[in-house]
Amino acid sequence: MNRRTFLSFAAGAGAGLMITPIPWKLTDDISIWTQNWKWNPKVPKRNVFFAEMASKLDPAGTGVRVALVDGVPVGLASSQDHPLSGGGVSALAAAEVGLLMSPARVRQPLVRTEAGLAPISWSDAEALLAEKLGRAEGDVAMISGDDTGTANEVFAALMHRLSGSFYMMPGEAQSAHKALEKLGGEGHLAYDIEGADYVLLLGADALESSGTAVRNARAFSQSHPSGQPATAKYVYAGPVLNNTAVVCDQWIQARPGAAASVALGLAHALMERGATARANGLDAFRRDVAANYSPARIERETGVRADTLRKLAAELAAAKRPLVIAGSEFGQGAGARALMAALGLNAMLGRINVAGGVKIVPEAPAVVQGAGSAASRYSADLVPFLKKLAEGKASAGVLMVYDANPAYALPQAELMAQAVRRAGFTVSFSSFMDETAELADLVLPSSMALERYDDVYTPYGAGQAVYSLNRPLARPAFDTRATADVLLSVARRLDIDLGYLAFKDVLRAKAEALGADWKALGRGAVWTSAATTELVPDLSAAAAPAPRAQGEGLLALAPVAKHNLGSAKVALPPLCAATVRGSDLMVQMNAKTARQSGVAEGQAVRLSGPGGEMTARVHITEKVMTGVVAAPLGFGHTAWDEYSRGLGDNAYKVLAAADDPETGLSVWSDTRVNIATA
Amino acid sequence: MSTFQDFPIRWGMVIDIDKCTGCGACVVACNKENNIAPQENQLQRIAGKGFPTRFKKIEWLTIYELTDGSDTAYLPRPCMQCGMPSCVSVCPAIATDKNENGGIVSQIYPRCFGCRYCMASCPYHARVFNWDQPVWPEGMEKQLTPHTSVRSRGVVEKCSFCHHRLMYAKDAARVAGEDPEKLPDGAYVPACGEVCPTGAITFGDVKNPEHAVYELVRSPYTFRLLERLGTDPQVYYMSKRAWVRLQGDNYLANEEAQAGEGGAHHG
Repeated sequence: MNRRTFLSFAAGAGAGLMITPIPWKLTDDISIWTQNWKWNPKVPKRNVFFAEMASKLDPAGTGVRVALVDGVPVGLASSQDHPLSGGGVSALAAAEVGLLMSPARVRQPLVRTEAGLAPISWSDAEALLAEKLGRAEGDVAMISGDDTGTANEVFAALMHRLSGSFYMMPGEAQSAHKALEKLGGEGHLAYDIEGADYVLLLGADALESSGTAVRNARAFSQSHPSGQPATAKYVYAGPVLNNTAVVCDQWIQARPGAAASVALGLAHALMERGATARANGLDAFRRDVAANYSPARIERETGVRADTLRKLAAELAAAKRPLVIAGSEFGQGAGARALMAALGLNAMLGRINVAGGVKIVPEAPAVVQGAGSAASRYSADLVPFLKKLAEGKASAGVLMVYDANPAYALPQAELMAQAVRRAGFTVSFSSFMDETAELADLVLPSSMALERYDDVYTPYGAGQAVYSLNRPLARPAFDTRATADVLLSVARRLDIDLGYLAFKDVLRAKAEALGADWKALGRGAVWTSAATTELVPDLSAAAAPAPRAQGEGLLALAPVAKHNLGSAKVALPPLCAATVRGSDLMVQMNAKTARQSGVAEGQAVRLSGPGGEMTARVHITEKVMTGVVAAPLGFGHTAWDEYSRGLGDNAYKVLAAADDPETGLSVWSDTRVNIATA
Repeated sequence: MSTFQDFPIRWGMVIDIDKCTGCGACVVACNKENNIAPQENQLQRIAGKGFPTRFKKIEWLTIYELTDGSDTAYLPRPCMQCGMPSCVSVCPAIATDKNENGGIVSQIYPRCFGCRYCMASCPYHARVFNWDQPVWPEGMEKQLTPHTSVRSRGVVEKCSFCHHRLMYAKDAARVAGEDPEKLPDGAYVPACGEVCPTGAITFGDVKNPEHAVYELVRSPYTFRLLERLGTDPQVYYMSKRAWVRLQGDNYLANEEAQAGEGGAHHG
């Protein structure tokens, strides 16, 4: 073959190929198959039905109307008649429906094997748990994160029968129970915020993450009609212009964890004006306040100027129905002092047992024998126990965790995870594969609130006694069970009679004990009661000096809790992913603090505190007071799903709890940190 | 240029910025109601440093943070449902129109071929483009609502004031033997307005004196975004703070004092 024939052949082959459909077909196929996208899912074409439920995920106990299509929860609407929602829905409650099919859900019981967590049947899992509990009798512990459910009675009674210990996850409810106990009361601390004409929030993020936030927000809304003069004044004192402070009529800059000091400083200023209170132990209270909480000293310690404090005291004294609500800025770690001090201040203002003030709602009657009172269930302090467990100074043959994530959402999170590892046999009852479940030896997934019987009794801060019943609105999406039912069954295997065969019967007994109509509750009606318990507080210990800040750093750390980013129990829900702003992931400080710390916008920094370290980028904003660095909570998850995992860092790692032997409740709302470029 | 169509009903939303805490409940409720898929990639982009995520995020309602250097405010921004919508006049496919009593600007997904001219013309960035097929985590597609169809890759979407809720409210009125064109106040409220914990969002017919929004839009504290472009938005904002109102439009230095006094309101 010569050159000419080769070229002729090549040209002929080329021309021949071009007149066949082969190249065009191939081009067409390439364009089709490279763009062969998945079909869109079709939306259902059926009628929507609505059913009422109370959110178990939102600590505010918000009532929501769940939209169901063919028995599948698809959406939600507001529940106008629910006393804790009044038509509003929080971001967390709104996301609860979407969490039903979250990729993080545990789909069946799992047991730890050498190869990791492997599926196990419910009956084998219950037998295994019964065996472990039977063997570890006297050395078992249980942690519950459910602040409003009767399920705690089942758990506490079982722990009682096994001579074990029962702990509640620390939060505002525990602080409230402890504070009341120290002041000689018992029951639920309730704030009649709707009836107040002057609301002073000391640290408490009352419109976002503290107490009955949605109800508080509705009360705020009613008192601030759009375009009209407000009928009540809301003042927020805290280190960060958070979601509550941003709408309040006034923001007073106060360092983190300053609630108790500011309250007592105000009591001092009121005493200067001759105020007195109907309370026991008043002399000791006056003496302590006079000695330790002068406005000048408050200015030095909290950053609240003495003249601001006096002006605030004058406004409180002049208001007809003032109300002071105190707490930690991020919902935990306040200990008992802040609430004790605030009760002292409310007593000085004559705002206890009155409309628009602080009320004490009686405890619901216990229906499971051996469960003890709510106050007794809150009495044990979890953090010191876990610390000892991590250090090998305490033991737990079996550690059971319900509705809580102690390996992530407690101060010194890494040490807490170590404690979970150190326990002989850890059982997680989480609905989701959270940090604690990942470390557990046995995971017995709990059905979600939409899929199980459960109840909500008077969350912390509710204005009256409120009881809602949740019934299963949907079939469990996975092989999950209600934990209370599982433990009733395990108790039977251990020949322990807790008096009930099913949790539903416990709830029916609770409804009867309260005098509520079971059938009406089942239809979504809410039982309420205006009954209150008279409290004459004993203020002798309310102004005793409090423990000092933890850490030696130059900056005060202000963790910020936003419920659209999740909570101590749940990581960023998929439906909330869109609400994350870039600056949400960053630690925030004002320009002066940044200048003093030598850091700039966007710079990567390391915060080191008494508990550990975290890294983040810096965002400069005047929403944070000088000398304070604000860190977001809810990030830095190592478990959960692709929506939350590996996003930002966990600020709980930096915190460390200080012991407070007098109240028996540790404190971690005042932490000092150092900042360095990372 | 589209011509102004005056409808007997004018559905309007009044957002009281002084009451918005920025909690995000409205966004979550909107996403669920309108079948907006959760976007993990979007989070990775945010974490992935410096990606321009603003126009890639699928979100009908965005909450902006405003500041004057010391104070802060949050501004939720749905589609403005403009009286003179710039998107409508540029759409080559008539995929978006304003032709129904009430004045809601439609978006008809099967007609849209994704040229994004409407996005370029919208001064509020209220429109978003599906760069990718929507993906739900396994099983979550079973929880789609029947209200809004799922949008494909390659089309533009936007807030519809939960138009399906208007249809349901009209149906309910017909069943009750009432006039569907005379819905009482509160009979039709979009998902965002329904859930707002602080009641910052009020919704109704701004031409109907029996609706709460009628008075609100006439308040001296009421303003609209970029009002001077002549888009005539049906979303109104309120704030007693002058600096917030000033950020609603672009003012020259000599105009600021006058604008800050308020009064820029229309019925």
